[in-house]
Amino acid sequence: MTDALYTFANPRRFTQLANILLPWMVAATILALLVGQYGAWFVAPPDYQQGESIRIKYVHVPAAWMSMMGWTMMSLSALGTLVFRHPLADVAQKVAAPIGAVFCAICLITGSLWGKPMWGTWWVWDARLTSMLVLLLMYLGVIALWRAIEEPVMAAKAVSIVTLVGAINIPIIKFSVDWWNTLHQPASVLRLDGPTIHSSMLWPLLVMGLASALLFATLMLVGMRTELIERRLRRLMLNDAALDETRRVQ
Amino acid sequence: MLGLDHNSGYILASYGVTFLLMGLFVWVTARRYAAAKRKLTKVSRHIDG
Repeated sequence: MTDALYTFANPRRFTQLANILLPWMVAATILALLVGQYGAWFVAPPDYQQGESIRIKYVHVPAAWMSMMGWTMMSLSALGTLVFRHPLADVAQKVAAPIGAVFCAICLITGSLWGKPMWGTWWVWDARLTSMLVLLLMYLGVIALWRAIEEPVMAAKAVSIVTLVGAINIPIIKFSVDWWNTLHQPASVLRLDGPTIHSSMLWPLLVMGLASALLFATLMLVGMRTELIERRLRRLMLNDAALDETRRVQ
Repeated sequence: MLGLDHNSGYILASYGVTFLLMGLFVWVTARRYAAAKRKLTKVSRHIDG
């Protein structure tokens, strides 16, 4: 396992693998998105209470899953940075933050657009909504921290510590609907006793979840490839500047 | 059956926001990659030359 982790520690080997995987990932994402959208609009029936508004769930719930998955992934990468000193861990951590933030923003906006017709309000300060807003603010904070510290190793360490501290919010989001009396409905898919929604609604939701996960992974690969190029550029330019300086002194 | 009712505005707005934000993010990510690759080629050429 550890060997497998370090096999792709070499940025060049990682880029080669990413180049092979990317076209397949893009195709799989588009296919899953088309199947998921077909299921969401043409197969899934309206809910007996919510009517057609239930269709918002097919974008809202996968976005919520991805925003929590993003932070979980960043926490694992933070461990990779601090404990295992894996050379790609901080790259993954840096790239995952804006992707997670976009999914989190989508979750909050679509949740609000569902809340208005269903609850009669755009927003309530209940535990689930508030903890999700806190997650978005944490994402924005981490992105700002990456930009604030110029030295990449120092930035990675600082962000890793903040990420690991912030990971406490993930179980709070997940179990907020069980621990507190919230307006937000309890979990209906990820439950110990199995999903409580009908299969005609469940499969489009799971396919949309898969499409979102594939999109997340695709964006991660492209983002990591870009970050590696930018770091190489930085090194090349620094070396070039140092060489110029040496020539001038001689 | 395409599911829309009197709340269709909220439903369409949700899908609109989702695809707009994601589309924008994908576009920015792709452009950033293309720009980084172009700059790397330029800098490498400058250093080699």
